[in-house]
Amino acid sequence: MIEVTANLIGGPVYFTGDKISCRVTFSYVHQTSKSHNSYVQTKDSGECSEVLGWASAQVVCICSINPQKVLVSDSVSNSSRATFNSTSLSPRAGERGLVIFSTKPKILVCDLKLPDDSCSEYIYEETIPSNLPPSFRGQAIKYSYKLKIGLQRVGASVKLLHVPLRLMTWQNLGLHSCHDEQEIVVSNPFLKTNISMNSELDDPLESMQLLTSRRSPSIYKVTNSKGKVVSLCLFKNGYRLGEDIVGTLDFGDSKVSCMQYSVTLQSQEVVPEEKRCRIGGQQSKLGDESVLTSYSKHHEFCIGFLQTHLSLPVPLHVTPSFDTDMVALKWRLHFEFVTAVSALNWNGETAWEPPKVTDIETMVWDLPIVIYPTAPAHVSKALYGACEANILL
Amino acid sequence: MYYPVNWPRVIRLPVLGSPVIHHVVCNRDKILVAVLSSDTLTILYNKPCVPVACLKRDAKSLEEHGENQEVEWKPDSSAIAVTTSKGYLSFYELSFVSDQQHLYEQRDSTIPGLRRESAELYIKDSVPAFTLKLSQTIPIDTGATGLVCIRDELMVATKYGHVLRYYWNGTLNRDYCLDLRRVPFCVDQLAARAVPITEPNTFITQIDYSPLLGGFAVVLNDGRGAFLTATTLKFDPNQVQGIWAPLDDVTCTAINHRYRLVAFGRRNTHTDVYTIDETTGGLQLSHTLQLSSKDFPGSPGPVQLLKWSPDAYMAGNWPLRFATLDAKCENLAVAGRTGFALYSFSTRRWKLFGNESQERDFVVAGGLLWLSTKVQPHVVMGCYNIGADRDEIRLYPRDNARLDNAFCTVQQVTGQILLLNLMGDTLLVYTSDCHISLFETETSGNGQLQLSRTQEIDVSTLGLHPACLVAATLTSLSHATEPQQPHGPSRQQNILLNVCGRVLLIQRNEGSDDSEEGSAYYSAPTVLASSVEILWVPNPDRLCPRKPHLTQALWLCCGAHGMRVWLPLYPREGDKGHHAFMSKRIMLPFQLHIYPLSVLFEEAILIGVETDTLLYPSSATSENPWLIPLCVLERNSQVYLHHIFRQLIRRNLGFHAWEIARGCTALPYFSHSLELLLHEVLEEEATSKEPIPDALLPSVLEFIQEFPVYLKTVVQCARKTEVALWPYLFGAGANPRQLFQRCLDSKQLDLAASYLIILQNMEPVSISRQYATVLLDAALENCSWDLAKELVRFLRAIDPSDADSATPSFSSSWKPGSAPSPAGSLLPAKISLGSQTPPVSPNPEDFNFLLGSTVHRPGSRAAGSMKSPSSDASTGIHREITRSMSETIPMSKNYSSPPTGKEPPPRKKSAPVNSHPITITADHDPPDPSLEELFMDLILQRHVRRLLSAGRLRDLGYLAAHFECPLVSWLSRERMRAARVDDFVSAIRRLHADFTWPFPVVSTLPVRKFSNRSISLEEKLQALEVDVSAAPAMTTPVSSDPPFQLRHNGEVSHPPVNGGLLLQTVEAQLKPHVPSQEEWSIQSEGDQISLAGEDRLNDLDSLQESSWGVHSITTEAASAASALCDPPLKANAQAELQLRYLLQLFTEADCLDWALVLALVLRDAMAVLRLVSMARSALTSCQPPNQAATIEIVTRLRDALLALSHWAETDCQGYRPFMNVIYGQVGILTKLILPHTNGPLSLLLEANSTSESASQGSGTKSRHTSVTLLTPLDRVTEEDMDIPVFKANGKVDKLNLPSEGAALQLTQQLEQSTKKEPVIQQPDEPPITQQGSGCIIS
Repeated sequence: MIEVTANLIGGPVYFTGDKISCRVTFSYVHQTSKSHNSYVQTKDSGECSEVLGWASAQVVCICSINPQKVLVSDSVSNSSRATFNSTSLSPRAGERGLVIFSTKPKILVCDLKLPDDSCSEYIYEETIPSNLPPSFRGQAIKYSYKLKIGLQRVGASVKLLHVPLRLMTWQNLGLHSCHDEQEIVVSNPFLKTNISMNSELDDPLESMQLLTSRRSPSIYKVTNSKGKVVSLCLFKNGYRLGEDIVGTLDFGDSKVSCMQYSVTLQSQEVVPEEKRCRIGGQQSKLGDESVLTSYSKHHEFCIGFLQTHLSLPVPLHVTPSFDTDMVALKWRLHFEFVTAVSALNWNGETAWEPPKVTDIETMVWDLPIVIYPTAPAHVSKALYGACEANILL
Repeated sequence: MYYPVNWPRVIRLPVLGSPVIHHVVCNRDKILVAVLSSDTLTILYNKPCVPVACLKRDAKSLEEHGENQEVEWKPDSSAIAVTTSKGYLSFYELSFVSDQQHLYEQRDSTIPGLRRESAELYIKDSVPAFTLKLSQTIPIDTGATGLVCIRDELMVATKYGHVLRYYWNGTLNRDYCLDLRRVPFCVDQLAARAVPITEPNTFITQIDYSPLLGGFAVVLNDGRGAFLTATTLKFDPNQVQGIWAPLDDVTCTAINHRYRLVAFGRRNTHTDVYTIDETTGGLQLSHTLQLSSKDFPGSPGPVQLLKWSPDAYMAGNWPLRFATLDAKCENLAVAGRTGFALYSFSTRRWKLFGNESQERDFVVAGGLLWLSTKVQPHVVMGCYNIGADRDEIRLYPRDNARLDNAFCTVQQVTGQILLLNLMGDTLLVYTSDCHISLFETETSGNGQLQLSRTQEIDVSTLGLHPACLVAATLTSLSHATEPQQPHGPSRQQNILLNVCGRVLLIQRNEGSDDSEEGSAYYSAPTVLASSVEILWVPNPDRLCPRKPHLTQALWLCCGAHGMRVWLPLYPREGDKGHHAFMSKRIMLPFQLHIYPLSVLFEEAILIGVETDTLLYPSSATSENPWLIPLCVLERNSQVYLHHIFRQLIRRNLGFHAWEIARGCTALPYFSHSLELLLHEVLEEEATSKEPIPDALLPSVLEFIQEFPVYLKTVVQCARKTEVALWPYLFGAGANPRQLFQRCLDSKQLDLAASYLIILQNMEPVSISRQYATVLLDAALENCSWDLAKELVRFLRAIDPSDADSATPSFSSSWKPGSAPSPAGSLLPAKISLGSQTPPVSPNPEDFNFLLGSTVHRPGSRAAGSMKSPSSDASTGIHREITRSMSETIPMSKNYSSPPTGKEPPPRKKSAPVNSHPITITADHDPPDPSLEELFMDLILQRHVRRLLSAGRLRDLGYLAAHFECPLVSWLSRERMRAARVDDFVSAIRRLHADFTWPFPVVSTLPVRKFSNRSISLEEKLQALEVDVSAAPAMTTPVSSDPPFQLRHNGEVSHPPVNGGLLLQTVEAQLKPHVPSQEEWSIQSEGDQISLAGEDRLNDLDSLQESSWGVHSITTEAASAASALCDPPLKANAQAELQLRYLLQLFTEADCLDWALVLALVLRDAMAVLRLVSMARSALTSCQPPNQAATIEIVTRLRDALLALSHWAETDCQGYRPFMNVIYGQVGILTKLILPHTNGPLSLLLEANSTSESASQGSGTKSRHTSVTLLTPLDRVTEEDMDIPVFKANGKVDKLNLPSEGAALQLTQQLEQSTKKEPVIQQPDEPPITQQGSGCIIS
């Protein structure tokens, strides 16, 4: 038997524009006594060896559209970029969704003879273009990426090995201007090689670092009809995966007593108006327009504080903000403030008694923020995801 | 260790009286907090943090009793005592109102939109209601100065030097009151004479009590500190004794119960921490706490308040008590107030109790552990079963869908579980009855785990409070470490205890004869270390045989004392007994910068945390918006190897250090740790004010020399040290000259460059220049262009006047190997030649003079036409090329820029370049040329020439680019010498190899030179093709459904790592049999290239299409056309740019030999055409004296074409189509030569003999060749050549365009003419299949 193992070097998370490296190992495995002996074994002068006819690899992006949420028109499928539809290994093989992107298949091996107890290792490398949507598991649309390795043993059918990967995008960041300048500056082609091969990748990382490390404190004066509830200070509105969203709350000179508050990090999956599915020709209800998902929460019973702070981690496994013509993922902080209908009394002559029952009302406020990706290696660690897959032929 | 995180929260207090807070004390359960201001007592509830009661004293009481001073809780929290400034003690009563009544209850609005949404806003933990009232106020003799609660009594220190004992009902326990004047004080309990305090007006200002320590820590008003103790906890006044702390500036005190420490804060900002010496009973300094001068510069003032952060806080009060990760860090177990829960990181899901009452029925205590068994992992915990009121060990399996007591293994134990630990299958349990029990876990038949008690040890003999045992762990460590056991790790189960910071090893000894269970006994405990906070024992399952020292070590974190490691020392092989004097283990201390969380034994690294404080604005409204500190915790790591090396070397145990280091060389920071070792020793010893009797540096250098990173380590250390310390470093055994030479010998040129800096500082200038020159030579030889460039700068920077001075003059800012700095930035203005030396204006006479050789000057060129562009101008041109290519302008426009007499095309602003080019021609006349300068130029020149002669054009390009040589002018002089190509075939091969430029692929002919294996591969690929058939539209008429086209380039994208099939062999053969343009290949690293250059390349195609667009074309021409289109698509765009750049250079320099080779490699027929017309115009314009030379050039060109066609026919079929396309040029060249030749016959003969020998050699000479040869040279007609190009040329010939500069018009006319003219079939050609030209190119 041949065991084929594919291992993504450096983890399963990549940026668009990254080079994917996958180590593919073909090893000869002795058939255990239990397994049936149906496989053809090539015997060469008494020595056992296995022959793998060929193996090829490609990266595909599969888009699954929920027809109940998104209007699937013909134009969608026509505009898909699946032009390489007739290789022996159709990238669509075994996929339910629409293959919206696939790299050209690369042949890894042909006619590979594996003698007894041997293994051979290959490195598959592919550069992912920059104009792709990120990996995303939404309600309306899912984009998933995988490395597909097609394999065929001599005399057997084609087998597929899937290695899922996660792609992060850095669109909307306006990053390429500085890069272009460099191109112009270097004129002698013999000097050009000094630019690091990774510059395209380093730049966005650097830019994201710049974007998200810059502090630009914003103070939000939160009020209701009776007056000021709290001054909320956030130090920026763009955060990278894994970062903590921190802010301070000052109840100091508030008119309204705030009993408690909670902050929730929420994502909003928005399908553009024209792509939205209308049930029975009518637009769906107002609340259904976007799919809200809540992630981390911060809650505090804050009536006893004059000043306090919030801290909300951005999980590493979420999809950063992005926008395609089919779907947009937006992020926001959803605040709920529980305020007393009539302000609490903190004064007294010789004694003070805390309130036993307070009439409250709850009001919400949404603050849009931007979530940026972070270094793929960092995300890989948090995913505990398999960056390895194997199959027995 | 506790660190503050985030910002402080500001608590809201009811606004009643004075806002000046005097004292904040929480109750024993840490649920309630008493806040005392001058006139108000506020009680806060902790979670949620809200005020629950508040009383203000009235004006009359304030006047009568004075302001509030100190507050103390009764242990059961039912009463509070407050001292006042006028000597009164007030008692307050605090009581729960009832279980039913709660505070801060919230009532939702009736309007649905205003109701709470999220579940967490409905708080489960309600705030109970309290009542607070004053019960009584009693006078104390002269006023209280200190207050502490012991059990049910209050100890109140007074100004008279008394310590009064009150019951909580206000009555005085008169018999047990103390008077300082009657208490004997001494330094320790062994002192013969103890003296009471006799000074008047001495009293206690602060008092703290610990039942675990059995006494009071007191601070006296005169700054002295003492510990009051007695033989019993009753503190009979007659037995109480005072022990002095050796201090006289004490300001405050605090006692740590668990570690039995007494801390005294002092005026000098320090805090001294004392233990009680067991033998003498005196206070013994354990360590001193100091604020770092980095964070607290200046003098922060006296210590005002000391508090120990209690361990038991999280465990007792927070909902979260325990958390533990499994070995793979994939599962987390957490225990809260009651019960526990599991979390899986991979699924991001929680696993909870199915039955909530089961969860509420027990409290996890003592610990929470993961136990991996054969069946499935279990969670092990000590717990208190609330319902049954008993203590149990429970084991829950991990993999059940829900947590359930039904699957749990329960083992009852006798006392409250305080500690829990595991080693392998053995569970250690320490209970409050001072017993350590060992349990074995076994899986029974039904899969259930079972515990069986195997051992029980009574540790009450240690004579301490059970809570003082802070850690108990099983370990395989023992005093005598055996050398590596071949049969796997030792399973000896010894016990390590941490008792109040002292680590005790209790070794288990097996009975010598019989192996019964009961025969094992434990030896008396031995103390390994003290002041230990945390200890890490090696995991017996993960002992690394390569690093036995590190993986068999015991690591101890000793707080202020840093880190200690208990390292095994293995005897050397063969000399047993010689080291008998050495202990088998050694304890090595070292300091830490971080607080350690974990030790990675194998990786030799510590993981820890540091804290940092940032200033953030709190909000716009607060008064001091920028002064709210944000505390953040940062994880960090620390390499400790160098500490161990140093300690071992210092102890003459260098062999052991070497043994440890040997196992660690693979660690990424190994060389860094060697550098740290060297650096620390160097800094310490070189800056020492006193002479060091036994300096460590020589031994350290000797040690580092054992490793290959020695050269690098020394120089990097030197570079990071002050220059003043270098003599010490290099005096200790390392000679920089030798080190430099070693770097050079081992080709570590960048390292050598680093040593050059050292030489520059330590040696006379002449020496360092000499070394620099040697290095420059080596750098050029190794194509280290950046380094060479830096070295040239370095050499130029040496002031000639300094040459004889022995004083080192180099500024150490220069960093070789780093990115090239801006041009000239390192050069002092006075020696920067750039401003003084004009750009090259070539003067051949100077050149000859300099080279000392007779130059065969290429003849006829007028000086004007040879005028070479300055380096600036040439970059301009090249830049233009780059741009034009990306802008898809037909290239011929730029390439045909007239070389004669015309101005170069307008330059765009060129990139900032080094303003002083290296003068490789040396024909300028420097104002003050030094010999060294010339010598350096000679080095460069020699090298450039060597590269050119060897055909290493790529290296030549790099060198020229880095030194900004005016290559064109130089080349034009070298064209008959170094720039001559003698063997065109090997020149082409060399280019292909150097630029990794793929050879063209044959599509129609069987491949000859491939191995059988490759062919079989090819066949396989073709077989594959059947599967992969059908695909995107290509306009080949033969196959309506052309196959999928894969991209192919010369660089194999995924070479097999260990043998197997070599994909490289596939590259050239991957052509299917089908006679179409389909092409098989293995894909491409070049995707981005094609993406980037697609438009441009498309335009190139169209350009070629228009040039070659004829109405009919032969098969061969068709494949030629495809061959023309292929290379740019496939190849590395960078290499193409470089080749084109070189082509331009050589063309400009009239080096037709190389230009031809480059044009061929690029398969640029237009370029060949241009070259030929250049030759023509050279011939027509040249003066008679130079004619011979020019004719020679033309002849060479023609011969080269002949030779290459032959080569294409015989050896490189891929070139055949292209050679056929340009073959017509041979005729033109021949025709050119003829009229000027005096003896045409001889020339003809020569040509004949050359080509005949070639044709004889192969026997497959193409028909064209023979046609040409047989045609009389003076009768070459259009009809002789049926190839369109040739026809075009014939046409051009007729048009009689003399100037080579008119290539652009030529091309245009050519296009027109070829389009108009029908192809005339050559009569003596074999019949050829005709195809429409459109289908090939479109």
